Amino acid sequence: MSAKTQGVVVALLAAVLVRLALTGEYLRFVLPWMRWPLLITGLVLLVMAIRPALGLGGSAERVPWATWLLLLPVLIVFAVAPPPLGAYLAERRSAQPPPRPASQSVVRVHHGGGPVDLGLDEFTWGAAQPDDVMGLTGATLRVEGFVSTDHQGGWYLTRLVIFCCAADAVVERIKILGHPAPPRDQWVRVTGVWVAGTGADPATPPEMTATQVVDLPPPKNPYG
Amino acid sequence: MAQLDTAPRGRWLGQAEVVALVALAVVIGQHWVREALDAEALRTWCTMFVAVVVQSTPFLVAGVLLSASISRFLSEGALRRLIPENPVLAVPVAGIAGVGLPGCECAAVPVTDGLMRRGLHQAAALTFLLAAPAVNPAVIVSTAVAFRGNHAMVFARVGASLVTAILVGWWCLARGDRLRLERRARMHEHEETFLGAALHDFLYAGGFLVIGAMAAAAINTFVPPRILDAVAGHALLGALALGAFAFVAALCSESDAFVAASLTSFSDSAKLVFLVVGPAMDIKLASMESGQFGIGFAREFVPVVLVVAVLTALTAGWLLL
Repeated sequence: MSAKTQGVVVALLAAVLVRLALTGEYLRFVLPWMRWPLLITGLVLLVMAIRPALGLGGSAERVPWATWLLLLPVLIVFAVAPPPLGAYLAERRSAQPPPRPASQSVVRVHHGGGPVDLGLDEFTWGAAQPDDVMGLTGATLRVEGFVSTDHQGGWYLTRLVIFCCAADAVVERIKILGHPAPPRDQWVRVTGVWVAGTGADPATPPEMTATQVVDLPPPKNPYG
Repeated sequence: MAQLDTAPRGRWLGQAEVVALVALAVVIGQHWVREALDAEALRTWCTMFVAVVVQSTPFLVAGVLLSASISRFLSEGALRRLIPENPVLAVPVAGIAGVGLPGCECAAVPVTDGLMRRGLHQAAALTFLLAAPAVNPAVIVSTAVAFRGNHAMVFARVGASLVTAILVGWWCLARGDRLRLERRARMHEHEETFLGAALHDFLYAGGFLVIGAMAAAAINTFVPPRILDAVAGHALLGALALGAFAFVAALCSESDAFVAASLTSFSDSAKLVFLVVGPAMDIKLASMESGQFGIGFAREFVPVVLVVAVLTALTAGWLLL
């Protein structure tokens, strides 16, 4: 690889990082706090690459053949534009029990009035508690997520939780009863009632009887 | 790449121009290419792969900058004052020094190379390489958060990781010259600019990082974790299975505690094996180390680290958990 090629390859990678950070597409891959590190990294790589890329210097030291592979992420981001992880991964990982949320303040659901908006993680956490400390029983709840399915014809309101990057995604889901399944990967808001007692065993997801299912546009940050 | 370097090329169309043109063609034809690659599994792999590369690159860049700074600004005298002359003592000191590098695996590889270039004994430098991703503050905090209330797990993880690093360091010392570690020849340091050195280190390690990311993404996409559940109940098999899982999944050491905490069907000892093996050795690190220090070295080093890490973690789990 010539010094000039080395510069061009690194400049292309830098351009990809900056593009992901500026367009917000980086949220498909990593956590929100990575925006500035990605921008700074992109700029540092550009500064490192600019002279060799323009043929103004750089060393002709040999690099291993593997260096060519740095072009692969560049090509994939432009050619494939990888979508956020969705139903495909959620269904393959479905046997994995959901994590216990790291820090969970107990939200008490107030009865009466309109439906209560709840995060999917709050719902599964509340359902797993021994004596319904959140007061979920009987309350009309509203939860958002995307649709995934199982082989038995059931469908789930699903979210993926990531801790570092998309490779460590963990699945959280609620089985939805009483409503036909929307298309897979469709984001929806489900209004319904918790089937009291379900979800206590971490190996099986809690269940919810739906009264209304509304389509939503996919959120900017696909992971919760 | 030797063939490519010697291939005849036109005066106006050099290697750099070809790369730029291919990239341009893909950008122009992106809609057509997207349809051709429209398969759910492939797209999921692409997302995972790009995610690992995007997450690792800032750490790798920080690592090569730190490595170049060590080469430029840290004198051999200063390093000698910090690290004992006697390599048997230098190994544990280098392990504990790993607390000071709050980065992940990807940053540690070029920094280790920089430390060796400054004359740090290779056994001590390799100890630093194993300890730094496992015992730094960011990892300790994330482990404590993921295993809330289970302080024994945090102590066991830090202790077992440190012991693993030190034992492997002493093993390297005992192997001495028989451990063949290839160091690439560098240009005379005064001829190489700071940015030039950093760029070259990045190009050197980056390709191997991509290979590791490809493999890790394939494992995470195509191998469902439920195949692990078959052995979850068995103490020893469960621990070995999670050790193997840590090697192939190649998660960042800052996040692996959350994944370990979610593997609720496994014993705490098995989770500890997962947490100790992952930062010390995984498919991404093995790829980067074979690039940096040679295939022959990696063939010897990788299995030794794996065996020591599993045994140390099992012992720590038996004693502490």
